[in-house]
Amino acid sequence: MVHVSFYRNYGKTFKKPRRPYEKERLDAELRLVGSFGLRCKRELWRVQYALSRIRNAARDLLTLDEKDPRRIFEGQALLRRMFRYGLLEATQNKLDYVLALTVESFLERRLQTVVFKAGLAKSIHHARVLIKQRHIRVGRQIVNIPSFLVRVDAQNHVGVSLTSSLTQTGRPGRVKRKAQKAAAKKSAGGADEDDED
Amino acid sequence: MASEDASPSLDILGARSRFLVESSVHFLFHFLILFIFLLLSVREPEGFFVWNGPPFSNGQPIVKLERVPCTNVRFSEDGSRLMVMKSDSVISIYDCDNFKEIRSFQVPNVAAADLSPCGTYIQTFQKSSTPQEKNVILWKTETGEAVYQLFQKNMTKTTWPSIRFSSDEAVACRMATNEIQFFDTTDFPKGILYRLRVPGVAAFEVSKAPGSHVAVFVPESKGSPASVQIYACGKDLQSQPLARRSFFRCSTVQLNWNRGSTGLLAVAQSDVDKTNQSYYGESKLNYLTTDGTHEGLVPLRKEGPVHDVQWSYSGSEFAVVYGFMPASATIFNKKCRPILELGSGPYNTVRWNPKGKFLCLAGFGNLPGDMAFWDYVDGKQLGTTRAECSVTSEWSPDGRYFMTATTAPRLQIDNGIKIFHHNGSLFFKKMFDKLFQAEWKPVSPDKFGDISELIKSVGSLKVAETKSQGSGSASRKAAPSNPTATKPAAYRPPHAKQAAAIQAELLGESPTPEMSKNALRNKKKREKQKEKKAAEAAAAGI
Repeated sequence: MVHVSFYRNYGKTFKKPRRPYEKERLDAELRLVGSFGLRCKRELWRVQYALSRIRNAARDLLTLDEKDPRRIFEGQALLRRMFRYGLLEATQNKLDYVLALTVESFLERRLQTVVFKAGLAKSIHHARVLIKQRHIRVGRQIVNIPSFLVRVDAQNHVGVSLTSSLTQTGRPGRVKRKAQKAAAKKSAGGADEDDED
Repeated sequence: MASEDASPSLDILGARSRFLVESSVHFLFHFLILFIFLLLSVREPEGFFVWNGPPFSNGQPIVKLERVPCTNVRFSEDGSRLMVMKSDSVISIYDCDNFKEIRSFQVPNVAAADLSPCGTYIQTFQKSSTPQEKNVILWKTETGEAVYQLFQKNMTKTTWPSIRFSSDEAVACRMATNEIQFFDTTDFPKGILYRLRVPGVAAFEVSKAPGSHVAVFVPESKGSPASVQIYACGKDLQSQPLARRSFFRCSTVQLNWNRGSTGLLAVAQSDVDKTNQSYYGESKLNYLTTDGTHEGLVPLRKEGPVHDVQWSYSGSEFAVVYGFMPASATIFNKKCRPILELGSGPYNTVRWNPKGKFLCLAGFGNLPGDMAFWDYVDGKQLGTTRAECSVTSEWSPDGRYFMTATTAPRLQIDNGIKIFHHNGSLFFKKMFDKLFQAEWKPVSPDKFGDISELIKSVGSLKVAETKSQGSGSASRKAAPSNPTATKPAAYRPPHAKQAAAIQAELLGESPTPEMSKNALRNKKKREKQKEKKAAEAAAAGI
């Protein structure tokens, strides 16, 4: 691992589980990895770590007094972030609802699942491939990252990118260009042969 | 001058009788208007006839056109012509002002026929086997001559009618393989004016009013997604689509233009649900605007299929009924922002009132037929009722009545029509032995006054009637209570009837032991005081 004291912007984003070979945990994790099309267990542990930090913050704020300025300010900020990312409905505007969040609610907001649910891909794994191969845009920006957390206002603007080879407007892909070149060369070469004859 | 002459004569009458005269004139005026414009066509096994629309005098509709034997009847979209398929090979065209037959066509083995929106052309489809026989013929109704012919192998839902017109008949186009062909509507024999090349096009829809854009659907091919694209209809504006939306996982698309041709709603349906939530497949609602401001999904709060989506008659808002049952309904404006939530319930259709302001949410088909009438401008519900086993439902062109009909090929018993007021109260009901079709004659909603005026005139109508006649006809007055289905009594098995009686006795006696001692004491005190007062009053009376 990198020597941490020289680098400021470095921290761990996941936590390995305490017991390595627990049957129920392994089954549950594998089910989630399969249904959301994740690459490895670490992607799931990353989400669990983020969720546990958010829950700790909410729990810590709930121990403070109701009118404490820090609780009001930070609580509102936390709730606003939850609304913005679609993790909580607008009706659930109390800190207690943050404690009831689950890993699935985070995994539902990844760009990979949003692309699949919006009908832009044939399966969840097809969605990951499309995203990594730069066919998907959010708004006007091409997004290459399957774990991009989609905001609520951006959710309806997820579409196929304009320069993608899947659409008529974009440049055709590498294989198609190669085939076109070969076909052009063959017709030109054929003409040459006729001339020579 | 006229008013000066009129007023002295009216001054002679007292105030009350003047009101009577004025209101009866008002009533006659509106009565005449309604009389002229609203018409109903009803088709039975023996033939079809046309009725004068509501309000009905004496509770029965007046027959405008006597029974004519036929197999199918259709009005043109603007309501000026009526097409009647009399038998397998004869098609007649009637003029809707006086219901006289103006032209008759002999077309052997005709399988389908369609009128253009203004009634100027009629296209017919005959079964044909060889490409030499042109089996789709376009006739001009005025002259009766065939102006264009082409060959089409078979007729499916997406390919009939072959030639589509816009509402004012300015644009006519047809879909061929990989292209859309445009014709000149004034001069069909000239042939194809220009072509729009769209490789792989499977379905298209011309915008109705005005006909400035055309929406095409290209299904999924090997690697590339399915897409819905909007093109402009001019000759030189063809190269690039104005708006496009691509998606996978869809097999058919329903395209829905609004009035004004600024927005397109596309419901993409697939037969197989890849998310494994529904056996019937999934559907998604996309919204595209012609100026490119919005191209994307409509944000729906609930998961599940999109049951129905309809644009309002003004074209600036649309209503969607979506979700697994009980479905939610929402009204969006043309920027795709929700403006009103209509709650949830067993609904799967929505019908806008042509004069604006009202909306009917209904559950027909496999649902029991609950209908909810809403005033969406004020955001409140006007009434709910039930119309069991209805097949078709339609608002009248003036917006005052809502007619539901139970028709024969779908349901063989309980055929009939029911007409409701705009708030859900039943106005008229007629049962038939067998009914094939019942529809209003389409009239442009602009010809009628605003709906609040018409409702007021109904009020003045009632006043004049009661004053002049003294007893109104039963069907004219609105039914005072909504006929809701009475809840059937709970079934009790024979031995339980006795048990129920015993329970009632027990419960009847229990209240007294339940009262506490203090409560009993207070009750006795109160009764004594009452007796004392009564005795004093009696003594004072004497």
